[in-house]
Amino acid sequence: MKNVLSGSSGNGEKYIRLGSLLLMLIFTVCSFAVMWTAVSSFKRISSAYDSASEGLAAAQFAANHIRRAAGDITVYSAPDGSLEKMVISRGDGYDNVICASSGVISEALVPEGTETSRGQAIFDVGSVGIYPSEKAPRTVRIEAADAEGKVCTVYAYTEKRITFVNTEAETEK
Amino acid sequence: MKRSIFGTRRTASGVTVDSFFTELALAMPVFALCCCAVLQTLAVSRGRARTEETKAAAIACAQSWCDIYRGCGSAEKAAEELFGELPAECMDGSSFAVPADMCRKYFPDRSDITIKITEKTEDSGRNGIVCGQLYTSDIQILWQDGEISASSVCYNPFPAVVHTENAVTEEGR
Repeated sequence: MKNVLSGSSGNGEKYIRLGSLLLMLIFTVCSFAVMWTAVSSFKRISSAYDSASEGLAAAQFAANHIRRAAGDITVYSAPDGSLEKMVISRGDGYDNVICASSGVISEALVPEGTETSRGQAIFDVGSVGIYPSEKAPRTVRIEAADAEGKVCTVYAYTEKRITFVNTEAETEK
Repeated sequence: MKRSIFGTRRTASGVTVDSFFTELALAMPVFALCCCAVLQTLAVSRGRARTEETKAAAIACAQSWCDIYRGCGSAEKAAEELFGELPAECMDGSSFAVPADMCRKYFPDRSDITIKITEKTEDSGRNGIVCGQLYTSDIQILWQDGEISASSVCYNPFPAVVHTENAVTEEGR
């Protein structure tokens, strides 16, 4: 079978045609370029989706804990309004403690009254804040900003007593 | 021997095609098809990620609405808390549609979101005695690829009426 990529000279030596070599080189470079673009785009789509859903997931996580709280809730906020710690009493001798430090949200189950810094990290977002709602009683507003600064807002209603504490003033709601 | 620009040669035994142009004619369309397939896959992935993100945001928005409504019992106040002050022209009796620019607070990447809120009131009681009013509010979030609906209820009891001897005293609750 005749090999289309190569030929033979008059004295029987085999050679590869220059045009075929160039063609193979062009196709190889273009294939690598297309594959690299595809992988980069997949990574960009994936990271954008993860980042956006991470902020919303963190806000929903905090909201669900507040909604199904069995006991009193105490929210500790930094002077800039960002969440430092939220302690939810379970009523069985244990507290659920959700800490936020440098955007990392962690959860721990500790005996009632225990001072704890952080537990198992669950989310990594930009910042989280929990504020009382201005128009709806017994409702709180949770704002979670992802790494790119996009803010997700979720509201949660609770029948339990919720107390907001910051370093400047203590507010009871 | 005639040779055309298309690489065909008319020889004594018929028309032959130069191998270099054969490769071009066969390989280029295949390469182009592969590139199109990769780009189409990227577009589908991006669309799917966008749909999932919109669905998660819609569920969070609907849950927030339900919680705020439970807290304040008024669709107008709840909409003001969730979306901001609504213009008077979008109110239509017991239902209203949230303007598109206000929907961007929860759906910044989409322009095809429509949010419709309805509220109805009915008397609630037992054994033929009306004891209060039941407020029910429905929120419907629609976009091109899906729909999320949620319903919230708020009960407003009437003040209790106590009968005493030759006197009727009304106690607020």
